[in-house]
Amino acid sequence: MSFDLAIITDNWQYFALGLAKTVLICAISLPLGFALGSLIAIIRLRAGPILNAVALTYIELIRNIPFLVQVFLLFFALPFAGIRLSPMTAGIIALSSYAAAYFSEIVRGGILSIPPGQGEAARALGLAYGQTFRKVLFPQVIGYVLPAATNLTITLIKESAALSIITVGELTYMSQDVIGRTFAPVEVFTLIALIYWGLNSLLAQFAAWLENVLQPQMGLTRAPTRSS
Amino acid sequence: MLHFDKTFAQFDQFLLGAGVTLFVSLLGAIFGLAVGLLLFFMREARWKPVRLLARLYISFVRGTPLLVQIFLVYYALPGLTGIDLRPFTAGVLALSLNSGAFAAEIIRGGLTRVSHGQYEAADALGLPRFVTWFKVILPQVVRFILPPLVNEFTLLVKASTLLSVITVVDLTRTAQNIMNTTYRPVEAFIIAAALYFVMLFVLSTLARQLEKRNRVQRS
Repeated sequence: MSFDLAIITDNWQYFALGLAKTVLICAISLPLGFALGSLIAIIRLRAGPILNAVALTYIELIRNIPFLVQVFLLFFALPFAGIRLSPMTAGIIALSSYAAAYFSEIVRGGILSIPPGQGEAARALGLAYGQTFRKVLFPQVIGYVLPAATNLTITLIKESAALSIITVGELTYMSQDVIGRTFAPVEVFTLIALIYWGLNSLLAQFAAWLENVLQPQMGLTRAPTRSS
Repeated sequence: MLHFDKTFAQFDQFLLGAGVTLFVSLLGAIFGLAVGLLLFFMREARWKPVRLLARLYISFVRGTPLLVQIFLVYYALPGLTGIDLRPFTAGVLALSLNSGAFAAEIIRGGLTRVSHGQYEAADALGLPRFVTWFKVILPQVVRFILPPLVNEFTLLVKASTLLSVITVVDLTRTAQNIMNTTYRPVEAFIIAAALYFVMLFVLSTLARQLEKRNRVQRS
């Protein structure tokens, strides 16, 4: 069994394109999911019982149905409803709505981790609402959210590989495309495993660095990381 | 509009698929626990390369998509070793190898939560090593690791959907097969989703319940 490097060098454009798509999908879906998740978290904390129940149902549905099944449902159900979407758009919608449910729990946990006395104390000291949020609450929420969000981001990048099944042209899909022509699964799958591994390691390093940078400036408090 | 009658007629198939899903996940969890134990001991090993190997393995599994791992086991492993695996065997192997990395972390987490004083107290009471482990330490470890292990099992049930890609006829694959005969994809996947929801909701509620019981007993 020989490892043929030419298969990788001859097809590097495909892998580069796939990686770019994976990064693009995540770069769109994750912030979108985070924003939506924050909104859901606020609904869960502030809104009345009906909205709260809706939000909770959404979270439980997303968390207790496998991602691939959600992707299939979306991919098949939308055309039935008369909405025609490209696989890419369907993939982004699926990943964002999936991310939102998980992000909402992280954000909610972050907000709940701060005792209400903190905000009250800041207000009693005469800080304005904006100042209270910026100087007192936000740094502490970030301290809780950042490690958990990093874990989740890595999980979501890995989940995005499942989008290859509905023919989104990301890294895993591209690799199958190359295998279809070269019949070299060993080389190709080893390569993309290494690419994903590198990408996620880089991300973990970056998050650790960011935490270090933010810690002294914002007076971060260490919070327990959630295991994913 | 939705028409469930044709799809519902094959409800037995769905149940069978759900059974396969649970069976594959259970096998993955059991073998995964064995892999996890092995990795745990490797990480505690005296010899540095062994520790490094375990760390590298865990990092790799956690850093790559399960789908790619499944492809590696099913498509790349035969090319490397000449052993052809059936989809089911390859699927269980991939799930176990994946779950092992997470199980190792869970086991380590459970052991570190048993405080050092427990060992010292057992020593002071003159308990033999064997009794210390089986009567003092392990019962506590089991209680600590049970909730995260149930959690890991729910993750496995979700992960096992990806085995449908290498033609393991689990619940997801069953839904696809039925969709191909009834031409009603939405109905097929709604039923699959409902069955997954029931299984996973029960399991995650169980995990939460176990966790709560631990908290009450500890305080």
